[in-house]
Amino acid sequence: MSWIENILIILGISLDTYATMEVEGAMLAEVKKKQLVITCALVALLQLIFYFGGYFICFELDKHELIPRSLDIGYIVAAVVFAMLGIRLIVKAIKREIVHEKRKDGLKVREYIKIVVVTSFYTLVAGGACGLVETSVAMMAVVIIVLSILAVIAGIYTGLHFGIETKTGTYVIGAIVLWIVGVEVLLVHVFGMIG
Amino acid sequence: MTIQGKNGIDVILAESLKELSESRPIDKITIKEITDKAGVIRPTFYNHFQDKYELLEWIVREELVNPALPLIDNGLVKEGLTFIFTAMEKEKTFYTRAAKIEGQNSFAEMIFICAKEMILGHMNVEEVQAKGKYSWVTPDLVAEYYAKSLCVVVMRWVESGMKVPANEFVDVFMSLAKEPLFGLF
Repeated sequence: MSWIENILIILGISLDTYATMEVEGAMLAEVKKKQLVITCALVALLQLIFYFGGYFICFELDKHELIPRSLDIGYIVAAVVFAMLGIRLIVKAIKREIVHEKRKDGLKVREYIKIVVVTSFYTLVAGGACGLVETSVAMMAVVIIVLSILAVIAGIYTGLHFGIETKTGTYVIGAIVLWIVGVEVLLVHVFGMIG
Repeated sequence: MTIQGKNGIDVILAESLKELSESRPIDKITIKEITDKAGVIRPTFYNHFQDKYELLEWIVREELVNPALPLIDNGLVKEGLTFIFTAMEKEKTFYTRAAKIEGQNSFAEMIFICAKEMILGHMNVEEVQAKGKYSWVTPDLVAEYYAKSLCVVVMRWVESGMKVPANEFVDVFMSLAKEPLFGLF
């Protein structure tokens, strides 16, 4: 996959993290730097573990030729991940879950970790897809760390200053972007219809 | 008049919530909307209140309960209640919206807590304990009993659109409150 497709797949996954952190930020009177650093580190670490877990499982399966037509399968899986993530975001946008804005003392790991772990499942699958299409490990590690940290910081400060009002819009825009990229991956890499 | 300090911000936030409630349910109002209307940044809200229901409780105490307390302290119970009901009548839209809040942060619960505190604060505890035939009849239980009754009356009046004028309503309530139940049979 091209570097932009790699970035977009991680960006799509990070949007869910952004929305989760937006809700957390909306409950804070101030952001404590130490808690912010811990949250950034934890989210980035989880994403790395799940991504490279999926990556190396599929990489090894491919190396031992246990997956036929691995390249095509990898691109199809990537397109499916884009589609599923988009659907997940649209469902969240439609659901419009009511959030009771109530002050919290700080960022509590046990309160956001469940949602981050659920999102990490998609990271695992994305990692598997990337393992089949021979994506650069170093580049993806950097992308995951940078985008995870950005998602956490952007989410928390957006929530702090603007509340949860941008959540629905973020979900919709994110879903549209993911679907466009998913279709592009299918047309370019699977059906060879473009470029 | 300059509004300064923490209390000044509380007043501004309260006014903001009341204005916003003119056009929609309190449950649907966000903290960002309250602070935008008040002209303060969003984090400021949390330096004053835990959530919008705590702000609502502050409004109830500051605008209804506290001004009535000096009257009740001096034995002018009817006048105190008339003040409370009249103040609610003046902000009819706001209190009608507030009465629709259900669940843990309900307006009914706030009224009940305030009423119970008021009754406990003015109750002759020794007399209640002397009159209670059993040890489980505590001042707290007695206060809850009367607070529940007042709460039901207030909610009924608000939910009916405050059609009965405040002073008439207080008149009837005071008469019924003094009448023993079995005297009605």
